[in-house]
Amino acid sequence: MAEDLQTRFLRLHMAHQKALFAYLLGAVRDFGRAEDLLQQVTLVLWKKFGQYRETSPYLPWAFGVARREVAHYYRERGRRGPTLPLEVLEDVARVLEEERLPEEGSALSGCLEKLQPDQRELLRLRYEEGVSLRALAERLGQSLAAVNMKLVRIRRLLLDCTAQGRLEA
Amino acid sequence: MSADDRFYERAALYLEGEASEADVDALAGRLREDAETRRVFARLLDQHAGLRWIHAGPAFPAALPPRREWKGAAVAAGLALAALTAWAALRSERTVGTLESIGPEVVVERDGRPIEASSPLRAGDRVRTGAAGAVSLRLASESATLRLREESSLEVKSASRFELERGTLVAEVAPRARSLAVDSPHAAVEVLGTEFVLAVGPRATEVSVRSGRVRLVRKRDGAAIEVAAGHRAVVGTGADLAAHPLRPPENLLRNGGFETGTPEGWDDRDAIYSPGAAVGREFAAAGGFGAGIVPRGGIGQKFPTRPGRTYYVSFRLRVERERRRPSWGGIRVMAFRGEDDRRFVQIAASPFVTLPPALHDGSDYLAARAGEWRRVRFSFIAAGDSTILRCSHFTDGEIEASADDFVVSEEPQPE
Repeated sequence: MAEDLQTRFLRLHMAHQKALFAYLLGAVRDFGRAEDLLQQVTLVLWKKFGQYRETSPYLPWAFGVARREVAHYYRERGRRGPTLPLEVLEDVARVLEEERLPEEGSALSGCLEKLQPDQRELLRLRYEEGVSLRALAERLGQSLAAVNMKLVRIRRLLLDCTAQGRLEA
Repeated sequence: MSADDRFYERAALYLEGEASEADVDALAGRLREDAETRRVFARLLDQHAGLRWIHAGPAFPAALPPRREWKGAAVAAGLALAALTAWAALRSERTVGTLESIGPEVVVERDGRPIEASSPLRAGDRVRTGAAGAVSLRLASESATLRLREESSLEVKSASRFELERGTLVAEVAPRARSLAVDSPHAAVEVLGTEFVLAVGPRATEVSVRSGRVRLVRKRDGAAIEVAAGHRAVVGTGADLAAHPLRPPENLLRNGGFETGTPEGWDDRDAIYSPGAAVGREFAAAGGFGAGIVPRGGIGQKFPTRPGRTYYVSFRLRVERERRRPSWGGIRVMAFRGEDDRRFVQIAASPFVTLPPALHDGSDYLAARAGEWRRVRFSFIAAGDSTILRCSHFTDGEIEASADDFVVSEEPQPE
C-alpha cells in the first residue's frame, strides 16, 4: 500500500534530521537553542511537506527551510558571537548528506567506551549537563584554552576511532 | 602548532561559542577553499550532534519499523502519531529543574492538571502563585535560580527558555550560563549572566538589571537593546525602548546608614550579650556616621516581611583589631524570625568576619584585612510577617569592628 503523507514525511525527516541538527548546531552553537530550532524547523517542514517534490533530494529543501528559520531566529534574538556564514555551513552540511556519516554515528557509542574515565566524565559534563566550556574551566580550575585542548584531543580520538574502528592513543 | 592543529583548535572554540572574529574568519576561509577541511568539519559537527544525542537523548526517534510491518494507512498514521508524540515526549521528559522554598498558594500544572509541586519540572509545565505565594525554581544545570513572587505565572518552554505570563520574577543567573531566555507577552529577555527582575503587567514588561546584562527584544517589531547592570527598561504601550538608571531598591530598614547620628530604629538590647554598639563618625564607611561593634555587643532591627519572599541583605564591615584572636566565630549578621525575638530562630546569616587568616575553609568564614571595609551580602527567605536583622559579636575572641550601610530590600542591590 502506498505510504500516506505523514509516513512519507517521517521516513524522510528521520533519515535526515541529524544532518539538520548538526547544521543548526553549527549556526547557533547552543544545544538548547539548536533543539528548539530543530523542533520549529520540523513543524514548518511538516506544514510545507505538500509543496515538496519527491523527485528532488530532501535535504537541500529542508536546509532552505532551516536557513530561513535561523535567519528569523537571528533577527528575533540576535547572534551570540561571531558566526560562520550560512552558505559556508550549508556547504559543510551537504557533506553530511553526501558522505557515509550515518555509519560513523552508530560507531560513536562504542568508541566512547574506549576513552579514559576522566575523558568520559568531561564529555558527560559537556553533553549531558550542558556545562559550557567556560564553566568547565572554572570547575576544573584550568584555563579555557587548556580545557578546550582536552576536548580537541578527545574529539580527534573519536574521529579516528569512528573512521577506522580503533582508538590510537 | 601545525595548521591542522590550529584548525582543530579553532573549530572546537567555534563549536563552544568562544571563537574570536579572527578565528571565525580564518575558519570560514579554510572551509571555503578546501574540500577536505569541509569534510573534517562536517564530521566534527556530526560528532558534536551525536555526542549530544548519546548523552541527552535524540531529538526524534531514530527509525520507523520496517515497511513490511505496516499494515495499512490507519496503522501508518498511528505510527506517525506515535512517533511525533514520542518525539515531543523525549524533548519534554528531561528535567528542567526543581522547585524549592515552596510557599503556600503554589500550583504546578502539567497538561492542564495539577501535579505535586515537588515533582521535577519538565518543558510544558506551568507554575502559578496566588496572592500569598512565592517559590524558587533551581535549574537542573545549576546555572540559575528563578524566584517567582505572588500573583505570577511562569511557563517552562524548555531547559533554557521560560515565559513569564504575568507577575514578577527575580532571576539569579551564573555568568557561566550559556543560554537562558525569559519571555513575556511583550518582550524577549536574553540573559547574559546576571541578576535581574522581570515584572509583567497587562500592557508592559519591565526589566531591572542588578548585575551582568540582558538583551531585551521588543516582540512587536524586533527592536532590541542591551540593558546593563544598574539600569532598567520598559517594553510596552507608549514606552521608548531605552535603558534608564535604576532607582536604588527601597531599604526596609530605618536609619540603615546611621545618618541620624544616633542608633534610632536600632535596638541595642541583646538578650545574649551585653549591649554594645555606638554610633559615631569614626565608624563611617560613607556619609557621616556608622556603628561601632564592641566585644560581646550587637545591634538589631525588626522589620515587616512577607512569608516565602526572598530578601537581600547588604552591609559594610571593617574589622579594626582583634584584642584576642578567636578560635571560632567572628562578627556576623543574622536574620531571625521576628515573631518571638527572645527565641532567636535563625533563618540565614552572613559569614563570620575576622582578620586573616580565615579560621576555617569554606564559605562560612570571611577574612578581612584590618582597617579595610568589606561589602558583605546574603539573602534569606522570610519565615513570617516580621524578621529581625542582628549584627553581633559572635565569637570566643574579642574583636573591635565598624559597621555601616545596612540595606534589606526585596530586590538584589546593584553592584
